[in-house]
Order: sequence, then C-alpha cells, then structure tokens
Amino acid sequence: MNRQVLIVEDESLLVMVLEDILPELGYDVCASAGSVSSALHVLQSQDPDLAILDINLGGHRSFPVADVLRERGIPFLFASGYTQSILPERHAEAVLVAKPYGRSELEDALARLPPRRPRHS
Amino acid sequence: MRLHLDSPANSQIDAPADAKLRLYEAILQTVPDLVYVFDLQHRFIYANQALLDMWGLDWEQARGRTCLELGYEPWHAAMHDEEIDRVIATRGPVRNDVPFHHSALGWRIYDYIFLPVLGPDGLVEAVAGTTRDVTDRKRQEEALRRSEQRLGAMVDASSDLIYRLSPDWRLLEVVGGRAVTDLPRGALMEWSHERIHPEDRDRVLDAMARARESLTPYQSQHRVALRSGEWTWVESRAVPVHDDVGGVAEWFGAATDITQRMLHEEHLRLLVDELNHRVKNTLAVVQSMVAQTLRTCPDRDQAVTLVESRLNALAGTHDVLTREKWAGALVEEIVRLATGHCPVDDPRFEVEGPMVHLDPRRAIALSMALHELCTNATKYGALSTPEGRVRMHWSVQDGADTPRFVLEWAESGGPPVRAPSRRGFGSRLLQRGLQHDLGGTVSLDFPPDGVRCRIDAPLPALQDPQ
Repeated sequence: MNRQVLIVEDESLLVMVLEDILPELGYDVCASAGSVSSALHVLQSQDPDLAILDINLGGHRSFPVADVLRERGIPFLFASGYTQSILPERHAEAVLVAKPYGRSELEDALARLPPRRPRHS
Repeated sequence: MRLHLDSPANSQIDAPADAKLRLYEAILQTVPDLVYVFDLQHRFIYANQALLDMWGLDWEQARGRTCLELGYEPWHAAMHDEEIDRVIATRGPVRNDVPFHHSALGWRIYDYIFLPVLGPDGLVEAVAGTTRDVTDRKRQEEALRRSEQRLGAMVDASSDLIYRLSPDWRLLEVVGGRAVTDLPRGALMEWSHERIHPEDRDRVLDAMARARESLTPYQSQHRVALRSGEWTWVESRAVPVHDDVGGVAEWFGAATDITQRMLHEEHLRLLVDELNHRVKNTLAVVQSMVAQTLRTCPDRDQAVTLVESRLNALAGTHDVLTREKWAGALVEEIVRLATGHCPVDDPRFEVEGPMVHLDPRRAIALSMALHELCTNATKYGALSTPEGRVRMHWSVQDGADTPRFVLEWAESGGPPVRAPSRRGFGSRLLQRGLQHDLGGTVSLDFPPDGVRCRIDAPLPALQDPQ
C-alpha cells in the first residue's frame, strides 16, 4: 500500500500539483489542509505516514503543526519560499525544499526523510 | 557728623582715637573699592580717592553734594535716594549693582552695599557705602554663561543623551541632550542593571569591559529605559578623558536615539522576507499552473495560449491586490477583472452583488476560478454565441454559525451543453482548488441549457484564513 501523505498548503494550485506528482512517486494524498487549525483538526482523526508543510499559511507559521507531527513521530518536510534560517531552533534540522520545486527536488527531499517512528500500542 | 571709631564693638585697632582716624583714613584712601558716607539728607560727607577718581572730581567739588547735584542721571539718583531712605528706615543694609561711567575707564558695572551708621542712641545718623568694580567678573560670568548656553544648545541640537562616566564606569552622570527630560539629573548608580535592556546587557557589559581595558572608544547599540516602561534604541559612544598623569580621569559619551531607524530596518527586513516569500510562492503557483496546463492540454499551441491567458489573469489579480497594498480585494473588482478580458459586450453579462472583501489568497483563487469559467464560456458556452447570457450574482446569506458568501454563475442562450468527458484544469481548479481555498463547497453542473457553478463558503473564513 502506498504511503499516506498529509499536505498542509494554502495555495490550492500547489496542492493540485502535489496531488498529481505524489501518486507517480508512490504516495497517496490522504488529506490536505490550508490552515494551521484545519491541519491540527485533520491530525485528530488521521494518521498519515508523512507530511509536507508550507511555512506561511495565510500569514501564520505552520510550526505548531510540525510540533504535533514530531510529537507523534510522523516525519515531515517543509516546502517554502523561505530559507532554512526562518526555522525555529527546535526544527532547525528539518528537511526544507525550496519553492518553486520540481518533481525531482520533491523526490530527493522525500528520500531524505527519516522513517516513521513505530506507532504506540 | 561723628564717626564712633573708638567704639569697642567697631574697632580692631588698639590706638588713641585721633591716631585711629588717621589710620582708617589712610586705609580708605588706598583701597581700590569706593568708600563713602551720606548724611541723612543724602549728601556726600565722605568720599575716598577711588570714588573721586571715578567721578573725576576733587573733594572740594563733591563735598556736601547729592548724587543728582553731582550729575547722576535722574533715575540713578532717585534709585540711590530710595535706597538711602530704606537703610534709614529699616536700619538694615541694601545691596545692588548698577552701571556707571568712570571718568577714566568708561562704562563699568558696580556692586555696592549701603549700611546704616548708628549713633549711641541707636538711631541712624549716617549711611555708609562701599562699591566694588565687578565689570571683569560680570563679563567673565556672562561669557561663561553664554558659553554654557552655546554648549547646551550644541548638545541638545546634536545628541539625545550626553553622559559622563567614572573611570570604573560604576557612576554615570547625565549631562544633557534632547532625551533627558525624564531622566534624573546627577549621578546614577547601578545604571547598567536598571536602565539597559536585559537582553542587551551582557553584550553591552562586554563592550564596556573591552573599552575600559584597552582604553579605546566604546561603541554599542542597545535598548535603554529613558522613560519608565519604555525602551529606546540608542547608538552609544564614549571616549576616555585622560588626566595629567597618564590615567583616565573620566569617560565622556553621547547616545543617539535610533529607535525609528531600528523600527524602519526591522520593517524593511520583514518586507524583504515577505517579498521573497511571495515571489517564491508566485513562482511555485506559476510552475504548477504551467505543469497542469501541459498535463491536461495535448495541443502545444493551445497550451501556450492557455498558459499566457492564465498568467495574465494572475498578473491582473496581483495588480488589484498591489493597488490595495495587499490588504485584499472586493469581489466586484475580481469579477470585473475576470470578465474584462472576455471578448464580449456588457449586455451579455448580468452582474450583481454587495460589497464583499476577500483576503489576497482567496481573491487570487476566486479570480483564477472566474477566469476559467469565462474562458470556458467563451470557447464552448454561452459567450461563444451573440445570444448567450451569463448571470453572475453573489450575496451574503445567514448561515448556521456564520454568514455565508454565495456566488452563482449561470449561463443561458448558448449552444446545448455536453458534460466534459474528462476533468480539465479549469473544472479541477474550480472544484478541487477553490473548495480548498475558500473552505466551503463548490458545485459545477452541466445541464443542457447552460453551465452552472455555485460557490458557497463561510464568510469569516473568507476574511480570516484562520
């Protein structure tokens, strides 16, 4: 079964492109969210294998979502027009793919993600 | 008149009375101060040589004359008359200063004291006076005062804060500057702990230690509490003032308020960051739009035309948003923009709706969606024939929790509609993309009499992405 991806991105065109590319790379998009609150809401009911996070969601930073993902052991990468320097210290080591990115940049970034921590219970 | 020179209380000379008189006379004639005595009628009954020199008279010319009779200006004579009367009445001294023309030295300033001379009955029997030429002192004082005024003006004009520091930097004294109105004057102890922002303190103390150790100018930018509860950014610079034996007597420093500059720089930095973010994001949007157009459109020429028209729609929306300083856009403007490039006359559009404000991202999403609807209508739908009509109505309606934004697009009068065999970019953008961006529902239907699209989204979500 393909790995399930959560997309947190406020730009629908980019969501659509990811929805096109990810299946070709062997991933399924299980959900997409355009804001911090809706992403947190999705995570209450879904358990994706990994996540792709935009950093600026309508003027708000997506770091609270990254905090929850790390807590749950779900690997994630940031996709953003910002550079690594905008990442807070606790996420400084996170994988960041620079916008605009193509299929191969995304593929490379996904390959650099650590495996998902085994689920509890 | 009688001068009681032998009265024990007034005499420090141990000699017979007539000898004392000669002694006093000798002293009085040689002192540079003016010494004189008035009788109760304000007439001079004694004047020493210094006073005679000032007048340019000998004693015989001056004896028994009043000031007025000696040619003093009437106002000047009247002032002394009043002062002499006051001494007689109060039996107390009077002190004053006045300019007067010296016969040899020209205009001088004189400081004088009139004293009562008391008789054995305790009544005033004469008024004695001494006058000192204070012209040089007054001029020096005046020069010093002007110099200090100039220095103060220079300090206030050029700096916000001028300070002195003890050699060990424990004591700071604020000397002047524009920003000191709320600072206590005088020495401040513990100033580095009380006045420097906690986050800047270590850095500032380091810079101070380096300067003190190497005796080189100190320089630092930091926040300081010039007023309570308010931080001011200053650029501070201090230099050592050396003493005569090679040590440091004190440090002298100036601080300039750079709060506005720092705010401006911070603002600029945020702007550049934001600009970078937007440019990259826009490039990503363009990239994905191109990728998807190519993916869904097999004909190369048609794909080029589509990419160009979609880029134009995107650029047009950016223009609207730039005009509004990226605060958002009105639905009406977005509609006008989307329909503006359709090659149609106005009567074929029926557009109606209230003022509704959208944030930039959703304005772009709606603009791109309407652009796709217009393109489709122009190529295949109602706008491909002269008889076709497009009705576009939007409204704000009551919802369960929040008001809802509802926009309906209805085509009529065009060729019979056939539902598309596969989902193109446009319909996908509408249903998938717009729904994602607006947080509501978007339905797209293809009844035979005309394409219909209905957008229904909660309004607070439209205005605030969170």
